[in-house]
Amino acid sequence: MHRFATPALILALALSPAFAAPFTPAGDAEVVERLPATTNDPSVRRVESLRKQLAARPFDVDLRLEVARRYFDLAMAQGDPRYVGYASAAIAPLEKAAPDNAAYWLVRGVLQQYSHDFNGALASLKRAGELDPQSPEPPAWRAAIDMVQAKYADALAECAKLAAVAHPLHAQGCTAYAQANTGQLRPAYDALTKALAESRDAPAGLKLWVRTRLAEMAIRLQRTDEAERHFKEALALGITDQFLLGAYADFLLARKRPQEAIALLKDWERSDILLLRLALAGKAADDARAKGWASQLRERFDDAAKRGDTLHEQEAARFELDVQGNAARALEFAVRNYATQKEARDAEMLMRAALAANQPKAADPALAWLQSNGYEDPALVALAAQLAGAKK
Amino acid sequence: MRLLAFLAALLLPLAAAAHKPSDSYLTLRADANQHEVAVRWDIALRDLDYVLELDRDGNGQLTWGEVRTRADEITQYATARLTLEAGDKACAWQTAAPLQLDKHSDGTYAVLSLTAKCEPFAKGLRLHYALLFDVDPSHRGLVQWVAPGGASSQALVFGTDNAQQPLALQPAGAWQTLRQYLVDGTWHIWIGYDHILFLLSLLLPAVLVRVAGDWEPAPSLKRSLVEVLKVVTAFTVAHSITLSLAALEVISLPSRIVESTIAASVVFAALNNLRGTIEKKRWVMAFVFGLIHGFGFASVLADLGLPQGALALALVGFNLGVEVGQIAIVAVFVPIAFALRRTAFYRHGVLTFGSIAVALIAAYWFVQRAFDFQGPF
Repeated sequence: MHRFATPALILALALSPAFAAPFTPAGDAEVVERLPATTNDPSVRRVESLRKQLAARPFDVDLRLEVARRYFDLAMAQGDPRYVGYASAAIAPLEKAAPDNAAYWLVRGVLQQYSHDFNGALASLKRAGELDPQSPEPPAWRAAIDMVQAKYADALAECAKLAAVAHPLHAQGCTAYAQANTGQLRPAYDALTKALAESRDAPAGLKLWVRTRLAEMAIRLQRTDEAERHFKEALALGITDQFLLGAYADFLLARKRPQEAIALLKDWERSDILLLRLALAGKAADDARAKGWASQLRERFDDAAKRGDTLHEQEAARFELDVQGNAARALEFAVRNYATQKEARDAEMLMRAALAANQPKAADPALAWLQSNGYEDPALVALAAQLAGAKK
Repeated sequence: MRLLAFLAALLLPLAAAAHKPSDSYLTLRADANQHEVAVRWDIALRDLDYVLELDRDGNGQLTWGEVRTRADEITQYATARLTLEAGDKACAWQTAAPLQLDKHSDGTYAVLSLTAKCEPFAKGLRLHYALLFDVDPSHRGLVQWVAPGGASSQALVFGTDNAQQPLALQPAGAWQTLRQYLVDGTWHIWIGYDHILFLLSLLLPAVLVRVAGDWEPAPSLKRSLVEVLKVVTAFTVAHSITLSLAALEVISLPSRIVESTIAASVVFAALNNLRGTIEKKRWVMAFVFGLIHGFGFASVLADLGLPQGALALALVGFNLGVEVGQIAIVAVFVPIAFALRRTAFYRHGVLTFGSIAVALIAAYWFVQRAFDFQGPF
């Protein structure tokens, strides 16, 4: 429960300055900004040097694609959206200059899905797949986009294509993920567990992805200990992955272990999706930093709204509902989010927001998804039952 | 000035960690004589370094010297990518003040102060924005436009898909702003059942007087009207105070506390009609709980969004709207209640059972809002 803030605290919050006026530093030696190249990250320096080479050789298609790919990887690793923009700029001239380059269409498709242009991304990736049928990436990305849009038959068709060109574990993971959404959770979990045990040679990144998926399935099967083991094995691979961190933090939060979630995410304030988990964990643990995390998030969501961004509406909905306690606004975000993204956690968000806002009908699309696919998850089934009760 | 810079510098380590997409911030303010536009333009140093390599020694740290000595180049680079046209003629850029700095949530920004000298505005103003689009198509220019003689600003977003936009010469008139918020305020009290039920609970006994523990019809309409006036005025004054304080961001309370206290206030007001604990001074209760209802109105106002520069006008409009809605309710309620006050139907059916029903509904709201019983959090 909330406690009333003391009047002194209210006053202190009210008096903190919102914006400083423009200023002139006292001397030329004063450091006014630290650039990202200071991070001891060689990949930042590497891409900067490649960009300079590109300026000298603007018609080098392969170099251009290399720069774009590296920028996109940087964006994924650091959660810095500027790098996505740089990658888009790098490939922009190629639409006319290299219309039959499979790698161009792949990078373009990946960038389009980042900005939630799912239809554009599917078309680009289709073209990439046609130009280079041996590449596993176009069907893998297409399957992932189909999953986000709850088009499971389409996803399974892409997984079948993947089987011919990718690591067997990759194809198996793809299929199991789709099956686990359509009423075959237990067989999918068992098959993927077996496939993982048989693939000691698989790349670490692939193992991490499979472990994360297995953990999520184990949670739905209520095998908590197994889920935790999958998460820990995945973390032990030593690869930084925001999605894994977010999923494990959610697991810890649901099990009322917010302190561990804070320890896990303490250096991740710069990522919106992980800052949200920090704010939730901070609130649950009554941490002194919780208010600061919440107000940082508020500021970021407000900034995104000002520029018209809609990339993190699921997170915005969860923030409004679980941190701010504003069910009506949470529902607005959840409804808009569900129009483009239809994964289980999107459905769960819509159902919870609809319940909290006392508008059970708003969750109908999520209920229809749950029923028509036979999605298995006791938490979602319980929400559906509550919604049915609230409608009466 | 120095103190502010110092405070901002203290905030830097925290703020610099955050990543957000690249934006620049422009405020364009037209002068009333219609041939000049004053421009303040904040551009991230990180973005300027990306295109102009400000970090000459390549140590990853930008010093003020590295920025200051390149000020002319920065201004040239920027103004070459921003065109303001009056009619068909581009305005001429002039530097109005030396380059300064400011902190935003994601780092330090260069602040350019410019003046655009233009032909008369009569043939229309257009802004073409092209900064950084060649290197980062996800960049946006966030513009606050203040029309000639305008008090408030209009927000415009410039991106690769909408790099040219007209700037409206007519400011959103004061009257228009006032009217819009007045309508919103009226609408909110009309759909805000909790406010209506609270007010009605306090007004139900206004046409009666308690004599020896029992309700008697009020002797005169005047007496009832005075009672109604006291309650409505107290409620209005109280919620106006907190609505203004919250809208001006002087005080903020978590919405769950506000919403559940509002529900509790309805329960309390309704139960009071049965027990009669607070008899003579219902207006005091209207005032005390009115304070918390004001926070509820404020959250609605915050959701509507407040125009920068016309905050006071929007506040007044919204408040007036709430009053209009209240008066409409009172105007319907009082004559009917006064006419029915002698009947047993009013004294038992409406007052007693009505209050019980209201208390039950509000108690349900309270449980819902205070304990948030859905969901795992």
